[in-house]
This record gives sequence, C-alpha cells and structure tokens, in this order.
Amino acid sequence: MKMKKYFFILMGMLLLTSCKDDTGDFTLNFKALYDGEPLVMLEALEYTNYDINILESDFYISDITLIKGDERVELAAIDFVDFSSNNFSIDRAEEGIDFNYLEVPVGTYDGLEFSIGVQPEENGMLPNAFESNNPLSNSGNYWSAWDSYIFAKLAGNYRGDDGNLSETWFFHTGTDPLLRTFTVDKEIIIDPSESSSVSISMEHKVLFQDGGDYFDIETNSINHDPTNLAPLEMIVNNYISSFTFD
Amino acid sequence: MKRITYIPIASILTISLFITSCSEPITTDSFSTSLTDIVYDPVEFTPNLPSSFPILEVPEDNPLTVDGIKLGQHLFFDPVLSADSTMSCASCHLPEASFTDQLAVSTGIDGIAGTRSSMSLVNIGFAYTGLFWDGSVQTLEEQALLPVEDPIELHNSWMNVVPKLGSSPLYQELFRKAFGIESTSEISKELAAKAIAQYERVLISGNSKYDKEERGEYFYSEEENEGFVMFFDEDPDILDAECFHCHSAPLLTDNSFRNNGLDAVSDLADFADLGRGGFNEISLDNGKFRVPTLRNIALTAPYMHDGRFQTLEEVLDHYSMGGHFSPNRDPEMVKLDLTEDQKQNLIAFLHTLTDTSYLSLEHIQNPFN
Repeated sequence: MKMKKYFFILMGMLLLTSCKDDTGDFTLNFKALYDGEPLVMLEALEYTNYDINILESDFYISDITLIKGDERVELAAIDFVDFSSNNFSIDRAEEGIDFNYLEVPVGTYDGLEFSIGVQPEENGMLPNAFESNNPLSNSGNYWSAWDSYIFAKLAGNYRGDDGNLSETWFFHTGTDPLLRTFTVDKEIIIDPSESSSVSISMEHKVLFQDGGDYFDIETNSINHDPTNLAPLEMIVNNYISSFTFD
Repeated sequence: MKRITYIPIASILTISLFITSCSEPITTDSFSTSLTDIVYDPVEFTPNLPSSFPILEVPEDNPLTVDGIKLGQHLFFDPVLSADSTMSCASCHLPEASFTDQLAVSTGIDGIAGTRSSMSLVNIGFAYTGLFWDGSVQTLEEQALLPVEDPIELHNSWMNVVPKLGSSPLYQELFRKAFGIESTSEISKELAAKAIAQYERVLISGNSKYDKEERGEYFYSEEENEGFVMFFDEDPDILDAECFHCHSAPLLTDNSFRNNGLDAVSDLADFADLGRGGFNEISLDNGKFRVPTLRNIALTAPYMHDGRFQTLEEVLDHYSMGGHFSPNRDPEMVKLDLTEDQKQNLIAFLHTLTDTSYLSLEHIQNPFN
C-alpha cells in the first residue's frame, strides 16, 4: 500500500516537473516613438511646417500568434495597446507597454504575427458580450453606426491661430476591410529557463506618410466617415510600416 | 543570547497585538444577542437586465440575495447612519431624481457644502472603471463605507452606527436573514457596506423610450429621431454631434475619464478641481472626470461635476462651441456650431432616455414609507 502511495506521489511530481519544462514565458513590448524619440503625450512635435501634439494613440491587437512552420500557437485572442494612458512621462514612454504571456510551449519559432484591429468574428459581437477585464468590453471603443469596433484611435491638436496647440485632429479606424496583419520575421526561442521577448517600436510620424509627403492634418483634421475611407486606409497601411522590432 | 532573542519577539508580539486590536472589525460585542432563532434561508436575486446591457459582475464574496438587498435598501434610506439622524444615503440620492439630489453640490448634516455634484446611481453596478467623479474608489463595497464618516456628509462613525444597528430588532432580523450571522456581535460595518452595495447594484434603469425603440416597442418622433441620428452619427449626411464617443450605448456612458473643456487653462496645474489627476497624481489626467450616464439626464439638473449648467440648453451651448481650451481637452470636443433646431432635436432625444419605472419596484422603494 505504502509503495503504491509513494509511486503516485513520484509520478505526480514528475508530471508537474515535465509540464513546467514544456513551457516558458514570453513578453511582447510596445514603444511609441515620434521622429525616433520616445513619444510623450501632449509634447509639441514638429510635423511639417507646423507643430502637432498627440493626446490619444491606442489600438487593438488580435490573434497574437507564434508561428513555427505550419504550426500556430495563439498567445492571446485580443489585447489593447494603450499609449494614451501609458505615455504620460518620458520614463513610461521609454519603458513602453508589456504584454506577458505565460506557459507558452517551448520551441524555436519562426516569428510572431498579430493583427491591428479586431478579428471579424469578434468584430461582429457587441461589447456587452465580454466581461469587464476583456478589452472588447469597452463600449467607448465600439461604433454602432459602423457595426464595428474602433480598431485604432489617433488624436491630438495642431497649432491654431491663437498660437496654442488648440485645434483638434482625430482619426478613428474600424470595419473588417481595415484590419491589417503584421509579421515579426524573427526567430523566437521559448525556453523554460529564461523569459524571451520581442520589442516593437511604433514610429508615429510614419502613420501620416502620404506618398513621399505627409498628410495635411490641418485641412483634413477629422475622419471617422464611412464614405471617406481613403485617409483611413492610408493610416492603417502605415501602421504596418510604422513598426520595427528587435 | 536568549535575552537578545526574546526582546524582538516580545516587541513583535506587542506590536502584533496592537495592530490586531486596531484592525478588528467594529462590532456590537457589548450587546451580543443570539439570532439563531431567526430563520436564515438565503434566496438568490437575479436582476431583470435588458438584453443589451453588459454582464453584471458581482463579487464572489457578496452574491446578490433577496434579503441582502432588503437590508441594503433599509440602510440606504435610514437616517440612523448620520450623526444626528437627519440624513441618509437617499438624502443626496433621491430615487425620483435618478438618485441625485438635483443640487450643484451636496450638503451634509453640518450644512457644509461638498465640492462636487451627487452622481446618479442608476446602473452604477456597471461602473467597473471606478466610482465617484474621479474614480478614486474601485468597488461599491469600498464606497459604501465612506459617506458615514465623511465630515461633510453623514459625519458619523461606524463605531456609533454599528451598536445602534445591533440593538435594533429590525436590523437584528435583517442582518441575520441577509448574512446568516448567529449573534449581534457579528454585525459590522463591512456587512452593512456589503448590503448597501447589493442594493446599489440592482438600481437598474433600462426601460426608457430609447430602450423601447431599440426593442421595437416605440417609434421616435421626427425630432427625437433627428437627435438620435446626430447623437450616434447614424447618417453621414447629417451633422455628427460626436456624443456617442463618450456616451456610448447601452449605458450612455463609457465610464472613461475625460476633460470636456469646462475650464480654460493653459497649464494643467491650474484646474480649480484636478479631478482624476488629483487622485492618481498624473498631471495628464488633471481636469478629467468620469463621464456620467445620460440615462435620466432630464431629471438630474444641474449638470457637470460642479453643477455649473442649469439646463440641457446650456449644456448643448457648451458642446456646440467645442468647450474651452486646455492642453488636455478631449480631442473629440470639436466645434459643432449647432443650430437651434439641432439643439432642440438633441434635447428631444435626451428626453427619450428618461425612465422611472424602477420607482414602482418594491425592492427599490423607500421601505419606511
């Protein structure tokens, strides 16, 4: 009887140990930049021939997945990158935002993939379907007239006639056709003995690139108009080129 | 050697005893009476939520029960919570005024005015981002403890209140039925707060004309419909009043913290009331306040955290001109230049958010009437 008991305890311990050895932790970090410098909300930024500031920059990332050949390991279905709340100081801007994914299967992965926005299945649902700890529960990020989540918000001010950064600009993207996917083409090793990470920097000035020039915020300061998607398509495409990783 | 060892142990023991005695719950020890003769048979309470509403999240250690809500209902309306027995929670949260007091700022038992307006409590159970105008308290259970001891509110102490509750046959029965306590010595401020939180959690308003229209039970008038379309930006050919960004459906608030341009300041430190920033000490959040629900907005004048606007017309005038400049004014505060007709249409829609059907519910009414 006693031997049998010890056998089961030993097996249980082995099982626990082996489970632990099969997984590791992974951190995905996002940093916001403007002209190569950490982006701090409200700071005056040189744009074209006028200044702007940024008060709001946040976006959903979805289907965050490690890739190994044909194999896909989902880290999370949805997360929310909220520079608006995080980047209130230079220290916070330099630290960036961490998403920690625990107990990821060990292995050497070819890369990482995520979408900027909400996957069509979840985008067809309302915020009331989600618990409050899910970023999709935020009704302020849902646009009933579009039947869509607002995938990304970008907003701030530009310098007005009063000399202050007092004129508002904002762009909201959303709807299934504006979902874009970014791939981190880099070997990622998940090891039980140490946490691995990927840091993604987002250059905000790139978001406004329009061909070889920059979008004129002064003359097109607000857009969440479903009949005028061109500026929003430009911005969502620019999200992809705004990202660099290491 | 031994002495050296014993001294710290003795000190730790003494300090531990001191800390323990200070943190013990305030109870009715000296008036201990057995309550086991009273039947304890808790019945789960399921609130009748509109299907469009979010999930009502209830703490595991404070499930909704019929008797828990009943106790909370009594405590909410009972002036026994105030030092001079003149005011209750309901004094500043009148049910018929959507649980506000319709004053610019509230006044406590000593006649001292507070600095902010009493917020509506309808659908407060869904305010997961924090309570009060600045979100300084996270849960209803934590919040319910505060007004009793606030010198500009009920100006009492739980040390006074708890023995009064324990010596009352009514509350002995209500506490026993709500929480299954076996003796009056178990009555505590924590249980009282839990009961008040249960009551507040079921103050649901979701039966307005707006809700009925969403359910196909009501049709908007032309004015109301124009206002609805402007409010929610339903038609790109009609002016977008940008309301829905903050006052999103179905609660007509996203419970976020925003600066809606009430004060013209050039430096973030210059706001008369720092709002959210005064709590979290992040200057970027200075001048930001929790977005209030617009449900029952026609019943809750005056408006804003300091009650500066007397009418909905004044509120719309403010939004129409885009508010005053301050560095962190919300980017969605844009100059709208609304016409008088457009303002009236929006006001007509805002009136469709009125719902007082909860006043007829027995578990919400003043139990002492």
